[in-house]
This record gives sequence, structure tokens and C-alpha cells, in this order.
Amino acid sequence: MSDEPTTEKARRPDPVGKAGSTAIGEKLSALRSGNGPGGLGLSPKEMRKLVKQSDGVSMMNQAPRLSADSVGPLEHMLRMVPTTRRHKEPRIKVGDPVVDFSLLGSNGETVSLESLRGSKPFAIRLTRAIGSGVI
Amino acid sequence: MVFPISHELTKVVVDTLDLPYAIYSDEDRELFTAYETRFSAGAPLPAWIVGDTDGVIRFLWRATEGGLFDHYPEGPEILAVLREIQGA
Repeated sequence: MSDEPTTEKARRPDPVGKAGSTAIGEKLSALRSGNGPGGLGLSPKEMRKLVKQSDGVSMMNQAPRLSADSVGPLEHMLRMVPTTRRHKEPRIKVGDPVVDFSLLGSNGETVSLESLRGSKPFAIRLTRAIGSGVI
Repeated sequence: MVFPISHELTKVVVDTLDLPYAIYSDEDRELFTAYETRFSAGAPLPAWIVGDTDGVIRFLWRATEGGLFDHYPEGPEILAVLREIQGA
């Protein structure tokens, strides 16, 4: 079977090739003396097969991860292209009502949509985590 | 500002960093879920929501739109949005 992509396949993004051409992919290739994209001793064809088999690419879809062992093999993680893009249009958009909420603050006070509405425009920042700064 | 962690942990963060403002806790991630921020490595992704005085969303940014690495609104951009709404 030939390695040449079909016309349909050619239109699809090639995650293995793309990851292998990133800065980290090139570094890995250099470290492993050019054994294909990523340099883990597998040919591009073998890597594509591996990624498809274990669903490594769909990890980019940002599903919840409950434990480290659910993340996937290192080979796949190394080839993930950083992205947070979604595939489906979100339901909530600009122009929709702000979702009702009531949240307890670190100062012991509760803030709700009702308490914010009416006086001034307001901003809500949903923050992911704390590192060296707020990210 | 809203954290997806418990009130107790949020308090620890605020006290440790000696923040001059309150941070709100959404331990059950209800707002994160409602705004469909989605998750990465088990943690919800960030989002900005700006509402006007009628409680209507006037600005909405989620890391899943535009990509976390393409555009990440910072304070000045949000302040400009708020000023624009207030001046309208």
C-alpha cells in the first residue's frame, strides 16, 4: 500500500506531520537523529497508525481528565498540537442574558447577578488556575 | 474573578497572595459549565463575560474561541469594553 495521500486525505490536517514540524518536534527529531517526525524511531506511517489507534489526536478536544493515566501515552502527548479550539458552536453568545449566579466570595460576601444588574456594566472572569500568575 | 475551587481554597489563595480584592468560588463549576468553557487537563478553561446594566452579555471570550494562544484578553481590553458600554 502506498504512503501517498488520497485527494480526500490531503485536505485533512496531518497531526503527525504538523507536530513533527513544530519546534519541539524538530528538537526531538534532532535528539533521535532523524527517525521521522518526533524522532521516536517510528516512521510517519507508523506514527499515523498509532495516533489513530489510540485516539491521541482527539485529546485536543479538551475533555475532562480525571487522572494522569487517562491522558495517554507520552508519544501521543508529544505530538499534540496545542489548541483550545472547539468544534461546535457554543450555545451562549453575545446578546444573550447573563447566566444567573450566586457565588460566595473570599471575603464572605455573596455576589449574584441580581446584585450586579442595574448600576454599572460588570465583568466576570472565569479563571482556570494559579501558577506564577493567574492563567 | 471566579475560581473553580472551594471557598476554603479560594480564601487560602487570596490570603497567601495578599490580594486586595475578593475572589469568588464556583466549586461545582456551574458557571464554567453554563458558559461552556470546556476543560483542559481536568481544569476548566478561562473566560471573560461582560454584562451591561440590563444583564445582557455584551462581550464574551472563551479560550475555546480564537484559541488560548492566539488572543488572550487582558485587563485594559476588558476595561475598554466596560467604558464603551458605559458611554453608550
